[in-house]
Amino acid sequence: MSTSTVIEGLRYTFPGAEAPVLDGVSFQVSEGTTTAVLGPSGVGKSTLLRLIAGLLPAEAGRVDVPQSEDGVPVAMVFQDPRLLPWMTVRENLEFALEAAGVPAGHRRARWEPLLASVGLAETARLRPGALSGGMAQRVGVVRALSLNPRLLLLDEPFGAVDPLLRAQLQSALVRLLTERSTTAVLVTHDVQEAAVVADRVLVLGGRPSRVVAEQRIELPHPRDGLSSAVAAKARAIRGALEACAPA
Amino acid sequence: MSRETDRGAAAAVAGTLLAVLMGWEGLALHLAAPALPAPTQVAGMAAWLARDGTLFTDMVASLRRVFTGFTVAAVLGLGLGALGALGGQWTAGLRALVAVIRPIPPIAWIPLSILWFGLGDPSAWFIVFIGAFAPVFVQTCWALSRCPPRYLELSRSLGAGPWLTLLRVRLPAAAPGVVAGLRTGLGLAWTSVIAAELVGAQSGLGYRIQMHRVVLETDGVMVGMVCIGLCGLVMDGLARQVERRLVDWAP
Repeated sequence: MSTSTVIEGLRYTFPGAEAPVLDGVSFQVSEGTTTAVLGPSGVGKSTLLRLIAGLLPAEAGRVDVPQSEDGVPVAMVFQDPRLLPWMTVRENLEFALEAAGVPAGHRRARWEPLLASVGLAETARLRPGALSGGMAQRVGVVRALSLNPRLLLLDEPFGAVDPLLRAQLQSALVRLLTERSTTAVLVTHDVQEAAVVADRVLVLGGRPSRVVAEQRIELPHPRDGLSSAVAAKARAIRGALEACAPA
Repeated sequence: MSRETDRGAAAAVAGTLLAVLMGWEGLALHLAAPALPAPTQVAGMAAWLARDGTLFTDMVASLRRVFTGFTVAAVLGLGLGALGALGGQWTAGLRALVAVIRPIPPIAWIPLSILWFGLGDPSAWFIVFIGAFAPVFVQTCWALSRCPPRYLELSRSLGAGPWLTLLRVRLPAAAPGVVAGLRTGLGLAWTSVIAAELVGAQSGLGYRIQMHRVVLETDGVMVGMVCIGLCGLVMDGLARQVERRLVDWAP
């Protein structure tokens, strides 16, 4: 049985649009690795994640995520933390586990250590309105990881936070992904974020969009975003992006 | 709100009230007797009506009618409103029916309600029900059918089924709108009961106003009016407290 996630020939057209936004998008994600997807605005990066998550119906192609015995196939972290404001942090986390069919008695053990590992154990009783943007996004990541997904999808999760906090959140994410050997696809517009977090970078481009370039990042984790090696990778990714940008 | 701001607001309210009372007293001196009784005269009448118990009895009678009519309107408004929101095309007829009934003021139903239920409580309950039902129905329907798509997408991404999504996402997300509808319904229930009592009851604040009007006791009329205003204010204040507790997460 394959342990890689296989995405093959995905095509999607927005309702009312004449041409597809994505067509023939194919790639594989090896188990325990993180693949970043970059591309110009409107290229269909978030749409690709929604197709993989099954939130949008693909017109063609397939998504094959390996089965999981004690977790869900796919979990998603959205651009906004998307915590339900009428629930406390604990209730938000337990709701996700309830939706995934985890028995009530087993839920706490799934979210509590994760929440503590991102330094938010004290927030369990708080409502999302009492959290900062960075804290709420960390809870969003904890919610997705507590589901033990075979594939974690991250849709520009740190796009709305300031650069200093973003670096901290990236480090926390890399630590969690590494510790749990989680397979992840990260959509981002930040080349440095891709160079710090990912093992491989795919560039989407063209009309309709498809994978037009690929960069491997074979640097050990954790990576320093200011190091020359990461900066060199970020430049290479930027070069690939600029090469596919419309003139 | 800080204590200083609270004090400032209280002072502003007191100042406005004092200015209105002084202006009212001054105006009453220049108008012919029954047209505008002075505040002191109204206060005297209020004290007299309070002493003999009439005021209290009428307030209780009106409040009981509001409670009965509003309870029925709330239960049916919530239930049918949920049905209207979740029933899709199957309940389009129900939504259209309420849309037609909604603009008809409760007072227009009074002749029919007297014919159907006679003079007395059932007629007043019906008018209160008519006044309160539409806002509860419309707000419930509106709030339930406009759950933010991002919450529904989250629920789907977590694999929650329709029942869990309804209970844990759609209903709580709709709560602020539903509670606002109940508050509006309660306010309209109160104004409706007064209208119903003006012509179709043997007790209550509306009935008392009508009795005083017949004998040109405008001070008694104004006592009734002030009581209606104060009762409405207290009821809305209580409803706000309940709203704050129920949906304290809402912005």
